[in-house]
Amino acid sequence: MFDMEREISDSKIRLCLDCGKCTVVCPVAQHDPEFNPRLIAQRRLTQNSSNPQDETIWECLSCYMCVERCNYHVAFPEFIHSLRAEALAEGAQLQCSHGGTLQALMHLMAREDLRQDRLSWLPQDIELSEQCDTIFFVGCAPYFDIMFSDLEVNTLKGVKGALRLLNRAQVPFTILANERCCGRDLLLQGDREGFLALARANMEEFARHGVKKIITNCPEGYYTLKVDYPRMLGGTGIEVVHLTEVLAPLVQSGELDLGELKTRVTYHDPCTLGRCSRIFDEPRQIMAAVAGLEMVEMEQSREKALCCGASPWAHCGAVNRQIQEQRLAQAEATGADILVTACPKCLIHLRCAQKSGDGRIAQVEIQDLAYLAARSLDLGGESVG
Amino acid sequence: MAEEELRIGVFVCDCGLNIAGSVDTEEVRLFAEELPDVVVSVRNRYTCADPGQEEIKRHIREYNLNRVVVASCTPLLHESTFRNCVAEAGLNPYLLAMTSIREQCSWVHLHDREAATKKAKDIVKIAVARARLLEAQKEMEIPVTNAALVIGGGVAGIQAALDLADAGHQVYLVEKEPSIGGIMAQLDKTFPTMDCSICVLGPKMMDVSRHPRIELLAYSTVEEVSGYVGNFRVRVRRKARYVEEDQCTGCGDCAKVCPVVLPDEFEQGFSSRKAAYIPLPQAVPPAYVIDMEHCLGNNPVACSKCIDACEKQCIDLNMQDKIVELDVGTIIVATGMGIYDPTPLDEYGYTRFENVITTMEFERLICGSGPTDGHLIRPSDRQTPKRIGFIQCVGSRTENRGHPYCSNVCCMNTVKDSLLIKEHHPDTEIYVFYVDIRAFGKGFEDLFRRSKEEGVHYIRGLPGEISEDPATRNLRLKVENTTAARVEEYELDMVILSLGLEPRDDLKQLTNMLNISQTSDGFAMEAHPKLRPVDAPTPGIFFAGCVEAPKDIKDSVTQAGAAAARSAIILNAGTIRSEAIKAVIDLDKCTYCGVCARVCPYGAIKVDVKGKTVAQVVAAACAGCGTCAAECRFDAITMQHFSDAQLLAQIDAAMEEEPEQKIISFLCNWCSYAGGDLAGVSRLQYPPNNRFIRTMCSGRVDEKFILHAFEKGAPLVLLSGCHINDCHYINANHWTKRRAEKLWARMEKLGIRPERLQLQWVSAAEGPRFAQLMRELEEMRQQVTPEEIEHTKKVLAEHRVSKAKAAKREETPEAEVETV
Repeated sequence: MFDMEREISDSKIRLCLDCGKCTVVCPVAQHDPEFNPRLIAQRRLTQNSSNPQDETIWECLSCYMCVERCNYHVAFPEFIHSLRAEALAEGAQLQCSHGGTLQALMHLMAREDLRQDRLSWLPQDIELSEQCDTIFFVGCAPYFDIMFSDLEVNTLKGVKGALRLLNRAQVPFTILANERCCGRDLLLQGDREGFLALARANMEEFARHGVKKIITNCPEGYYTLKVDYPRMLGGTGIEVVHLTEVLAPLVQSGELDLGELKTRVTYHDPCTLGRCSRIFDEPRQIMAAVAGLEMVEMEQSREKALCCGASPWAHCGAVNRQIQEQRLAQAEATGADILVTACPKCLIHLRCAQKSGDGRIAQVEIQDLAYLAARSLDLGGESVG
Repeated sequence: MAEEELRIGVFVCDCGLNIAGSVDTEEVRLFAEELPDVVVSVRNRYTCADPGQEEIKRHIREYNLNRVVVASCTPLLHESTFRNCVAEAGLNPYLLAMTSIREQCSWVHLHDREAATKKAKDIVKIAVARARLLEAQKEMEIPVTNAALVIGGGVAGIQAALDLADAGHQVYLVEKEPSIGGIMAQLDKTFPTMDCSICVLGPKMMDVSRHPRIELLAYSTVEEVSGYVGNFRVRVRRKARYVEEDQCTGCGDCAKVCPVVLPDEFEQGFSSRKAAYIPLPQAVPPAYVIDMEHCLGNNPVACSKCIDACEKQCIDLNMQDKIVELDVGTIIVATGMGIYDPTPLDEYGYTRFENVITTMEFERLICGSGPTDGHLIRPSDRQTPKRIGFIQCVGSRTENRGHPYCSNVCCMNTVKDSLLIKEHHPDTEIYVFYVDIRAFGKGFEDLFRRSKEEGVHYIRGLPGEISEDPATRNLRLKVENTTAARVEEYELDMVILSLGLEPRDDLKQLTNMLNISQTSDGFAMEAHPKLRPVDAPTPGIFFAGCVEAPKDIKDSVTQAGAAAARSAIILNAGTIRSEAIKAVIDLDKCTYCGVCARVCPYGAIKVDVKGKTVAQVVAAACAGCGTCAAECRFDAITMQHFSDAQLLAQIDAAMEEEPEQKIISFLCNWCSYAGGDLAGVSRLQYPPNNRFIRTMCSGRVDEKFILHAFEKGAPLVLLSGCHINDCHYINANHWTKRRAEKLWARMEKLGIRPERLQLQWVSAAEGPRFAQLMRELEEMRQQVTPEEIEHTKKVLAEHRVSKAKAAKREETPEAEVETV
């Protein structure tokens, strides 16, 4: 099914110098001394049948901090994903969180005969272009809002903000009624078959509607559609751009005028948007274009941004919580009123930590970047929501 | 040339049973006798032995031979032997054609006597065809200017200059900085001896200044180099020092009164100097210099305090740069190294945290003549650091900000530094954070051992981050101790980054000037990493020291001696002889299109395209690859000893009988032919259908040779040379590749299967590959049908005619010039 030896070579893990920098900068290793990315590689590369299965491979957050520091940019997260696929193939059990509902949802979404009613949240005044070969990929936000309603994540607020901004910028797009989950979480978990099923289903939808370009505000969807789909399916021919890549040039040139919002914010670079996709400047350019908005960087930002501790809806535990606590404390320390992020999963995981009832967790307000920018357009605070 | 009657003598060698065992050499001899223009054909048991050679000489005299063909072992072995032999008999050595019926025939076709003999006959016929067209050649004798240029006055340049001067040669030593000494002058001690660096270097610097045969041009740069081995002309700019070098007494009064204060580069910025300064107390030349870039001004003179203070009145602010022209026979490049700047590694905090310093900064802090008189203090509070960490591999062994190679010296440098610190302050806690400790040289392991015995801690792991305590300015370092498999934190007073070496920023300018190349790491490229480690591929230019690769002082000095010796070979000879395989331009046919000059790997052809002057070959610089001749579309270039006519005649000879049975292989002298020889030496067997044609370089093979072979009925043609990047003539085989690609496109258009032209690189070490290739080619040949061959012949004949008509029309020559 997949060629493990080739995947190991492709990740460049064999070049590992065993310098240990990855272990030092890894947020998981910081909180869990048993987790050691370097040793995971060592164990696997010298594995023979007498060694037990490495249980720690499930803890990696795919935050790419190790890649950032590694002398050879060893693709350690991809290596981990391969190990997980190998483990599942050998009968390991995935410890799903939330009762496995997210996984069930993803598998459901791969069905060919699927009919979803997923656009009822779409505001009446959002303009969709007919016959457009550019789509806005919504992602799982509609389902997240329902599943995590107790956390009041309101991930759709970010989506709606994105749509309003695109309308305001006069960027034409349409939305598919039967979009599937991009499948990234299944890929991260090692569920290759599940991922491929979703990917193929999505590609068929795209083909059926003649999609040539995809805009999305979800970094996970962005990276998966842009990089993982061509890598695993062999090319898609579809251009994929992130919302901020579309809007940033427009705010810089003055074509899109953002309004005013007098508040102090700090920005959390999502790992998949930042380190993974190297999109650091565009979100900041958008925030800088909002009059009155003061942006203060956290002590670990841009390439060094601390992960939000997001899990792929599996193996989520105490270490994730500790990382969230650390990140929220960093946000609080800036004195910002709002912690801005550009990823629904960051939003959900940070909110989850905040709602856990642990008194130590900083309760700074968290908002999505697109929501924030759309608010500044003076469309009325909550009318965006 | 047929002024005189051709009288060819053919000498077929038995080589004991090496050839005679599988080839019927008598049959070959008889066959050769019947060839046109052959007047005598002789068989010898061992042609290379004295009796064999005597026989050749006797026959030359008795039969009045004016061409000699020796069919025996590989010319790579004995061509020079037989050239000398015929020369002794009064015949020009270039009238000898030698060909292999051993490595390329008898040894690889041991079990098919008939086929081997048939192939041997063909090989002789091919050689005779070439011999008919050989011309007497005179080897150039180039006079050598008995002087050498050494560029760079670090320890390598100094040593090379001294060695050459002591050997009796005039040396010009050009150094960019105001003083010689280089990096070594900035070091405190050297490993493994723990010698004081400037103490051992200083006397050598003095020797340079006093040597009657060394002219030291300090504060000078090389601006232009022209010429070729034995006859380089170098233009040097002597920068204005604004101080009369030989008048200055070094009193320093000018510096005392100079109002401009600047960071002192020699002291790594830890102390200051003035615009009027001397780089180090032991400077050679021992003269001050005015840094005009920072002086308050000399036009008009803004200050003049230095002039007033100078008793000797040797400051002249109106001095101008001087241009000097030097004639030298050889050049030694010893320009040294650069050092990696670790600022981009912001996880280590260099320039943000005061107490994170570099190894060079440490050298100055610990040096007795340094900014702190050798008291080891740390920058933030000038206290003696009690806990010091070294981080190894900074900027080395990485693709993530830095260089992929290992910088050779940093491990031992840190071991040395750790012992220096322990000498000064035995109670210091020292931690070395490393990946490997490379202590490979003489005395190195010993020094490493001493360091461990002194209590230096070696922790295997590189820190992931350093943070600073704002109150104490101490550094907190987080590292995974990979041996213990746990993350550890260290609080340290000072951290020293062990920096890697890198090529100098200005190396590219120099390599362009000298027409030498850089390796992928950016260092200067040597002619051969094992056998010619100090030679540049361009004759007459040598390397010494870190310009070629990171290395320590011992290796730099060793290389300097080697470079001096190899220079001296040329300088001592007085003249040098150059093999007579040169490009000759037909001035009538040359259209000054400039292509030949562009493709020459040695820059040996000069053409003024705009000025419309015909191409001129600098014969001494010409290495004989033949690329220019192959690329010239006007047939205006003849290669001596490997002319178009000779090559076409060889193809004709091979294709005269049963062409459909034969594979024409163009093999290059240095790699693919040698690979074939190795296959022979190894007795690897392959089918006997191959007919080889040797050129010096695959770049020589013109498209027209290949098309000619096909037009004569060749089923398959092999074009073979050195692997890309290994070409003996630097990069000539890139043109071969490009030519092949163009030919494939053309063949496709003409309806000829492009696979019938095979392009395969084979190195001299790849005997098995050569044999395997021959087997594969024979299989391919068997798939070529007679109809295909006939069709090819027809199409090519028509194509040739129509092309000839087109050539009469004007064409723009520049259209096809591309850079490689």
